[in-house]
Amino acid sequence: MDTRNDLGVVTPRRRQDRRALQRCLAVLGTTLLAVVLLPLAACGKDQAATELSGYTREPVPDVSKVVLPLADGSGTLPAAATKGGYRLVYFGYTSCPDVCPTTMSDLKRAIRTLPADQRGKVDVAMMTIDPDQDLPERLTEYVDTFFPKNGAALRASDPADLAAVAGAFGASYSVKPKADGTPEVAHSGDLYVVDDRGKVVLQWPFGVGAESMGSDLATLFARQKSASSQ
Amino acid sequence: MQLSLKKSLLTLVAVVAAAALFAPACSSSDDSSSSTTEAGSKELKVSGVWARQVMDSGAVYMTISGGAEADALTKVAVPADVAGEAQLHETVMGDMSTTEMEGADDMGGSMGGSGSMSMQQVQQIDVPAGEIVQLKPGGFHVMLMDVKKDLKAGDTFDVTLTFETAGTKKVTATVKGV
Repeated sequence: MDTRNDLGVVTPRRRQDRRALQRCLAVLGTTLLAVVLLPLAACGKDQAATELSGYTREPVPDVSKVVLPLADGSGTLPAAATKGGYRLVYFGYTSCPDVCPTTMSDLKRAIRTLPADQRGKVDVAMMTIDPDQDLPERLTEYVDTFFPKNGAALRASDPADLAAVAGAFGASYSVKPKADGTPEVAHSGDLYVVDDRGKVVLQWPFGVGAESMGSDLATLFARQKSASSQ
Repeated sequence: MQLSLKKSLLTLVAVVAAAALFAPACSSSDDSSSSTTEAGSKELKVSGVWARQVMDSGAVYMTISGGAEADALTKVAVPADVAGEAQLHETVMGDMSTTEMEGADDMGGSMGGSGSMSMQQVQQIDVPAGEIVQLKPGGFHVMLMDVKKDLKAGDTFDVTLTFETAGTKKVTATVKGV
């Protein structure tokens, strides 16, 4: 029927084909548009230089001289991670029902995605920004709920000590009594990823999610590996 | 040629229109179960109710699909053996510089999107007609205080929601593990 199409003669069959093609293109175009636009709308700020979901501050904060006070009074923990590992530091409070448990729960799931050898090199330290309410026992129970094996509860009873530690990380907080006597707490919800040199190599704002945290940690370990093999 | 172009444009319009039609239909899960009291009216629906508890505090999250009329969630209650009190709250992300914060004094404004987060009680959560309102981490949520039960993953409990127009609805929250 459409034997002469090599000469550019448009036979009815050929026209049909072209229409089908155009219809097809329209659908394809719409789909492509959606595929291109959706991720654009979904992604927030641009961390173009890196494929990590978290962000890195410039200059990279150095917390190697910071000591973290253990809540049980048994001493301190260096802010730097153990060799080849990562210490994840969070500033929160125990009566926080929404943001803190979401972050801790996501982090717990993220760590679980790592292979066992890497998992063993990751630990979590949560410092209370409300030491008046979060007495050592309560805070320890809270951290143990999420990280019974690799969690540390941190608490400074002296507000100046808390301010010094939080300031070194760039964490902010405010605890003010409300009219009804209960405290109104505001805090920066970031999680800080500290390497074994005491550098805050990555920060996750609230809402990054378990999957992204997990893949970021895997990427950090992979980079470490490729750096050491060079 | 002219005809083909017109046709392809028509197809494009049709595709977009179809997408627009189907998108809202996809998001409401159980249209078949909605009883229509008035011609064409849609009832407000609540789905995906889940809760998380850590020690004596907890939160309940859910998806509310607005009905034909604008409505508002004004009250929430849980059984007394679950928690002492349930309140409607919103986590608000504000600019660090608007509140006086301790700690990072020299960091003001340079923190690359990590705003200060605080929680506040809200009187009601508006549910505009036909819109979907999500109670989710980092936004609106039901805050449970003085949680009495040691809730385990998979446990369920009743949540009674009071809406301005739709009245009282009893839903079941499923507990997610930490």
